[in-house]
Amino acid sequence: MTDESAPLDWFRSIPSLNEVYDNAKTFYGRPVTDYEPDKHANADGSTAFRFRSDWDENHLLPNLRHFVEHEASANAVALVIGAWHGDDHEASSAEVVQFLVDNRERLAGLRAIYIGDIVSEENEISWIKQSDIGPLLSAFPSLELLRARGGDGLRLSSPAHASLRALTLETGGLPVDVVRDLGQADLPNLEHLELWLGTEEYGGNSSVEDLQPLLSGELFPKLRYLGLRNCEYADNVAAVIVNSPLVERIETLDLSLGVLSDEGGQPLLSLPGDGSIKDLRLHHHYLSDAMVGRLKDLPLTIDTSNPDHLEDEWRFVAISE
Amino acid sequence: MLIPWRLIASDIAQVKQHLRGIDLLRIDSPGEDAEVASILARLGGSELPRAHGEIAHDGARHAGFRRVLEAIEQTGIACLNHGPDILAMFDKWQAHARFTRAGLPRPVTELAPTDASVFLAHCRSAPGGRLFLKPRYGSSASGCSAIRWQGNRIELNAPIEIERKANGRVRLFNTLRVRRYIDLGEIGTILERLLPQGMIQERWLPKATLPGGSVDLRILVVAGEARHRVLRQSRSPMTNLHLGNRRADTMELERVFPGALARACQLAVDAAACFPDSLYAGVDILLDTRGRVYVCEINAFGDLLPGLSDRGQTTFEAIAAASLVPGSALEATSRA
Repeated sequence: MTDESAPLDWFRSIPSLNEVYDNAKTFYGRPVTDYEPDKHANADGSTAFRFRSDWDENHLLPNLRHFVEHEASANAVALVIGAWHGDDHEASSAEVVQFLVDNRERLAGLRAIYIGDIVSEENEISWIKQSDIGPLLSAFPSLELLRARGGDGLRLSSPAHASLRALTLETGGLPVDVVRDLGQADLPNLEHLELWLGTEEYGGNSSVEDLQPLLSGELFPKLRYLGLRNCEYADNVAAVIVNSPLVERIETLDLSLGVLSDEGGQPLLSLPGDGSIKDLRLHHHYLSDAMVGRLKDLPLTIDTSNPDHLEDEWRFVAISE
Repeated sequence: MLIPWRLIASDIAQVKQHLRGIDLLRIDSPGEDAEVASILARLGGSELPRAHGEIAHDGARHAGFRRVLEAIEQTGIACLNHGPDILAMFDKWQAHARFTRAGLPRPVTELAPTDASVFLAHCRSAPGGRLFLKPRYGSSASGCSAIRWQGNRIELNAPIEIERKANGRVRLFNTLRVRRYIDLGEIGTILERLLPQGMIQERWLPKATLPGGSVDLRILVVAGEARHRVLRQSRSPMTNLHLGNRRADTMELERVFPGALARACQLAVDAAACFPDSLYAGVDILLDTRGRVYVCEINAFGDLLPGLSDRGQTTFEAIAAASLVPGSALEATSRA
């Protein structure tokens, strides 16, 4: 692998709802392969190895231990951690986070970590037990991408990192504590910030007020992609985001997977057509055809795929359970 | 010649008369016909009529079904699938015992307690888990529930609706949509009505996933051969409960899990062989996230797979042809 800077699309999580049912196929531009200790592991860093336990076998940590004791780990660039709960549904990610931190010297080349490549068959998103993943930031100074799935128990303590370019937190309900953690962030090189805010029913207890520090424009001077996805209060987000200084800076605004209705569509019509912003992603929404038509008149690339039923009394974020 | 269930069930003393002149009988499903269901329930000694779609004690209906099959068996007429086998297939606990005795892989299964508080205490004795509850008798999804718990959180998913009458009467009804219950009181209400009918609790394995959703297989075994197969795909982790499954391409399965289809077919044949007096059966095979195969269920009437052909035969044609082959499995099953 050449040492060229990773393109922004290496940081993308899943573009549409369809992919949420599948384990990651690529990560940080590399094919994802389950690590098998008895097979020769590709040692040039061109593979993102995944480590996970099965429902009947807790081999995540033993395999990870095997990996760090072998040469392949020295050049590892991207690492994927899948289901860690095995047979113990109470187990959180704390143990595997600690293991990675403890072995930071052997894994010093890591540029990308995905902790929670877990699909609903393995454990549904709101049942995934996370932990404080903040220590990964201080342990891996070369990290560019940190991605996690699951909001229960999730924290991101002292988010400070000189070279982190992308942070993605996928949840069915992002605890407000994590949003507040981010309000204290010192991430001067962050280009991609993606939060799946989820629903209150599953612990997503933030509101648009809690996002204000993120939207003030003082944090993340290099931000190019902002995703406030899977959000129950997407209409409120739309209303304030158009007045955020970030709109002058970012290239992509992603409000997909959420509960965006015409109420939120209206303010989006005032997005500048001649500024930095080029791409508006609204996949899975509750917009009317008329509003979709008006949004499509904006001189932006707009994804309005997968509209949900407007006649339903209840509106849901795409991914919660 | 087609003989309606209604005729046989309502006049069980005259079964021999009704089947006069028949020397080979295929017993089909009594189906969901409300009239037949109530005749069977009466035959089984039930006094309470069920409302349409109500989930209530199925024991009487099964007892009536048993009486009809026993009466047919006593006539000595050769059957494609014999009554005792059909009854054993309809009893999920008995079928499970046959599979495990034969050494076939099955998700860990127990007979569920009939008392809801005992069941919930049993759940709480483990810090977390997930399982399926299935009615012991019968084959439809009616009453099937997926339960999971973790710490203080518990959830039951099932196509079940609770109806509360002003007079305090509470009944359960089937719905088309899988509903989620998170309130312990409501979960208790459901369990108190489901468990007494007799249920099995089966470990809920994570299923193999292909692009588009998780999958399982229905394989029709005819005369000891795996024939028609359907790869069913669903976006719900509760495929067993889910009613709107799609069909997926077995080539795709082979691409992602090489060899899994052949292993599934062999397992289906082995599962059907646990019922030696049956010419055919529909066997459901589970695949876990690593493509390992398990017997899920066996269905005596599992041959209704419209639009499917194998070696140019529909399921019905394949069964008919096999039943006419001299020295076929049928010969062995015929006791006439």
